Amino acid sequence: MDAQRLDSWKDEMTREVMKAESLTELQTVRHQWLGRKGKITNAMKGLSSLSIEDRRTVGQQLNGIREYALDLFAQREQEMELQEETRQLQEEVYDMTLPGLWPDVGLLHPITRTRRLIEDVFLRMGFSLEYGPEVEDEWYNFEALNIPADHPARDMQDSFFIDLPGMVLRTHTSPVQIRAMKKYDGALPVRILAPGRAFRRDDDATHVPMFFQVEALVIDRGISLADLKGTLNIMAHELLGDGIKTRFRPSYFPFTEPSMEMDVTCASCRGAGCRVCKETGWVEILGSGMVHPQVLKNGGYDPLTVSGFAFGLGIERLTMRIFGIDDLRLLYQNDMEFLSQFQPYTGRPGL
Amino acid sequence: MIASYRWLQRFVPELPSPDVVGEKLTQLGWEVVSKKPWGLWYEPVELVEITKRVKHPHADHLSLITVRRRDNVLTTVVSGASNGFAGDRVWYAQPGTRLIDGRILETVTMRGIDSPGMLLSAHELGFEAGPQDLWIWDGDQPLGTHFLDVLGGMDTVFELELTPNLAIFGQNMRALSRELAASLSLPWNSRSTEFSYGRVPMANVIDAQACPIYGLAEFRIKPDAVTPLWIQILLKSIGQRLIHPAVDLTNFVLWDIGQPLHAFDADKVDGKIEVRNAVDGEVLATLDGSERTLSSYDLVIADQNRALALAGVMGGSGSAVSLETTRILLESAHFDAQRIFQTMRRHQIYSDAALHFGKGTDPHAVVTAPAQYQNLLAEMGILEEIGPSQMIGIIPPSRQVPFNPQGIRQLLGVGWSDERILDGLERLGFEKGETGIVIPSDRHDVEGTPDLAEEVARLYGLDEIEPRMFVVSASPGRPSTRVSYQELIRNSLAAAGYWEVITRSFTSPSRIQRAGMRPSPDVINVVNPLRDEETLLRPSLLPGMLETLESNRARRDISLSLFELAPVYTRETPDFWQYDELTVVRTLEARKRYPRPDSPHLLELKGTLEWLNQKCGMGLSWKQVPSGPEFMHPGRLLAIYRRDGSVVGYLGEVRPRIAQRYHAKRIGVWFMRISDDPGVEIASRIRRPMRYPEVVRDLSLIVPQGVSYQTIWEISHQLQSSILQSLTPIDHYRGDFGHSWTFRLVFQSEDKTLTDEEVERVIQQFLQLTQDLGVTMRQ
Ligand SMILES: [Zn+2]
Repeated sequence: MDAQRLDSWKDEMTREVMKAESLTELQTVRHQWLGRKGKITNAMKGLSSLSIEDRRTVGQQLNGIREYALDLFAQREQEMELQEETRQLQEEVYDMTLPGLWPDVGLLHPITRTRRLIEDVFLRMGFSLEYGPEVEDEWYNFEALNIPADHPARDMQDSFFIDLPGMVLRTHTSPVQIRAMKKYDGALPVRILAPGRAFRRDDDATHVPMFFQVEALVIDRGISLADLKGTLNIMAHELLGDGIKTRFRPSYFPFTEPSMEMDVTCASCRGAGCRVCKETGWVEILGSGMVHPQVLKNGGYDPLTVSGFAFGLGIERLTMRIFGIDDLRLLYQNDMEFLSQFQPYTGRPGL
Repeated sequence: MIASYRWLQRFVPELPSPDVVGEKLTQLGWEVVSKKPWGLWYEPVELVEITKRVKHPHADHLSLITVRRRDNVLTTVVSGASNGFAGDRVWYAQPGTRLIDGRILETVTMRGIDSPGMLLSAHELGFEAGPQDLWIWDGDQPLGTHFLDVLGGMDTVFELELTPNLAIFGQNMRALSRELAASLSLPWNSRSTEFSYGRVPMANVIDAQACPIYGLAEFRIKPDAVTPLWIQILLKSIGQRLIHPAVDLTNFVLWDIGQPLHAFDADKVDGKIEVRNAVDGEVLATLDGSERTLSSYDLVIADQNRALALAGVMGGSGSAVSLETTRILLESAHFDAQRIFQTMRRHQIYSDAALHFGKGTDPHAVVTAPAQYQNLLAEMGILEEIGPSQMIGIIPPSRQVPFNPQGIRQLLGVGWSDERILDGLERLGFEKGETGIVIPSDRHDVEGTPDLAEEVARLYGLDEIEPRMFVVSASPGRPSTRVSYQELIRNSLAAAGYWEVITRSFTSPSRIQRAGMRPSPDVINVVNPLRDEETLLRPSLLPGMLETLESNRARRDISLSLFELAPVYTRETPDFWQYDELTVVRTLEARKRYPRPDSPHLLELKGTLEWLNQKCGMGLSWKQVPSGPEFMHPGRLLAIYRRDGSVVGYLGEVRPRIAQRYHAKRIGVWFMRISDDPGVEIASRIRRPMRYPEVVRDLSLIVPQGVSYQTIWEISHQLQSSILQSLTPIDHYRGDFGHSWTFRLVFQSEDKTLTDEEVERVIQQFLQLTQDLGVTMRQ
């Protein structure tokens, strides 16, 4: 039993282990080496016949070989177990190209989502949300807003009247301006946003008889048209992206003076001019202005000491713009196939 | 309103290009709907001279007319004209020319002879030139001159949309050009002279409030005149019809300076004119050919016998001028805008006069307009004599408003100097007066500092105002608690798999009945609905929701889970006629799907209610009831209660008979009123996780008919066991022995591992109590 022969055992054992093709064969090999009558076991037993000196050196050598063998067999055994498991699992093959079962998630209506997007912009600017009734007193809807009796808006052609005397389905969210002023009761600043339904006797691709508006009102000392422009620019960038350009044009509303409309870059042609924007490159997005002194008075504020601005924005128009829809009526048909298209991410986490 | 670039040039000769004008108009607040070239179709029409005229060999009423064109080219055409002889110069259009009526000229063969092109009458060119067939031209232009050049070349017409404040003063070229001149810093020719009224008593104004100023002037003219071509051209370019000179001139003045004039044939007027209110039932035949029955709300111009005209709106046919008229009675008046507007609306006569008077006209024009009319008659050479005239009422003194440049700066947020502000106002026709700013007499829209601010802002352009941002306090804004709570409900339902829909607030009795509901007397009706299906404000969301199911399932068989949280309307509560309702609908039909079918169950809807009630702290409770709303399935109905015990809604199935109307076999519905005040303060109670293992026991019980799960669950609660954590049904079948339910009981203790004996003791107690109900263990 010389040292050289013992050294060659490692190679011999490794070769045999690698040759074993199954766990059973591996067990046989293991037995040949480590079993009760295995080569290593036998050699260990034979140590006692050696001299004390040889017994120590050969003993150390044998111990090393034994540890090597234990590791070798354990490692190989693990490998073969894994292979065996893999083989079994491969029999459980499943056609993963089958369509997945989608989670049953619901979806908020695009109008709700756009409304919240707008609300969020203004809440961050320190506006509070206010509401008013849809069945509105004619005084709040018309007179208080400086809309005289002969104004076309008061005609049966344009407004829905109901069988409650003196009441009308509000034609805009503007009456909430007056209600908010009365609620704030002279306190400053007034900084409110009023989302809600409004009703007009119109029905075509760009008008529906029931629609959603957002009204904003700011009253404080020293509020100017420049503040209004600044606010609207921030809003346009927040809602439509930093690349958007704005343009302001004089306009007329009975309850603001001066009044102006805001145009933004046409989405279809990006300002180059097309049919959608009548070749101007601009599309109108909202009406606004400085609160008319009489309206301030009607709300209980003194136009000599405070001033304010207001604007009204159609939520549908913004929804159409953000999602790229050209027919307003589609939004209220509640067709699931149509609405399901509003699921994918639009690049706006807040929407 | 249509504006002509050429017409505007009358006032501002140095007007820059139409493109610049268009941009300026937009900046000034005039919405340019379109900008189009005008006159293109006149381009191919050329001046020719007739060299020969012979009879057509095969037709008595036709002639062969040979004309000499530019460069001595000769062309012979067939013509039916009665005039046009050698030496006359006429207008010729060659084949390919598009005529104003849209026809395209071709070479036609007339009685065997080719006729390349056509000699034109004034009418065929769109103009009036008196009673003649071919338009014999007496101008000295060279042969080959294009008709377009005679017109002064191409024009550009702007279609403008006027906001109501601009319509008050701006529906005329004079005002429009004043705005342009001001914003372009160009000289403006105001072109106004005053008529000197006489003092002949010709009229009585009975209602001076409705007609504060009334002017009448008589002009004697030669009959059979023709309106000057330059006026015809301008009127045509803005789309006006040519009628005859006396009317064309009033029309011209209307669009030139904004003052509607009315010309009566003086020979058809009997005695003095009266401006009075109509007598109820009085009849007037108006110029549009209608008979109008008037009321005392209408103001009329009358003579001693009858109403001649609906004041400020439309003349009567009985006193209309004609080609034979030799004495014109010209009315130039100032009316109360409201009165005219109301009459216009009442009779639905949207005449140009009414659209001007109804907005408010310049009182000073009562004096300037007749002067202009007189000058035009003179220019035409038909004015023979200025007859008697009278003006009743006085031109009001010009109004002044205080000049408050600081107020203007503050309102606009600009640093413009006093001088700059004043300069802008002066360019627009305002003046600095003794006590403030003198307002031009046509600017009824201007009342105070905000209006003046708007004027300078328009003039210099809103782009000149530097945007800024008011100071915002650091505290964020607040949403309302009530609405945030509703948003939580919306979010929760969307998370639970329901799709939000938004339906219209309108419905109708038949739509309500179709859903099996009865129209309540408390509904609010729409007085002027758009259509029969939308005659009232919905008292419930349900009909609209069922219709949404229907329209979605009409074309494809899909399962739907929908909700809407929106107002419904009722007159039952005074002062506030709406409250918020939540309605959830779900189709309950299994749908084949691999690897397992999708089979929605009514208990999932109930589960959503239970979950939402907990998630949103709604404080609701519910109880199975044997009856409720008629349209609901009576065997599967829960009434939902608020804390105070009042019913707020129901959950169950609609009767299958009704569901079928909406293309579904079974529909689960849940509708309830959402309280305005969530008012729920729930202390959060969070427990540590249990550290000891749970023990699970499944019990199969035979449960007699009529014993509900609720009863069994209540018994498990009577045990007051601290270790029985839950009792859940996990299996059910029905056999000849009755119902068999398998319940899973879960036991767990907070402070120890449970022994079998402890669990068994509770189970025995439970079985003992349920035995009294007739419940037995299944063997
Ligand atoms: Zn475009």
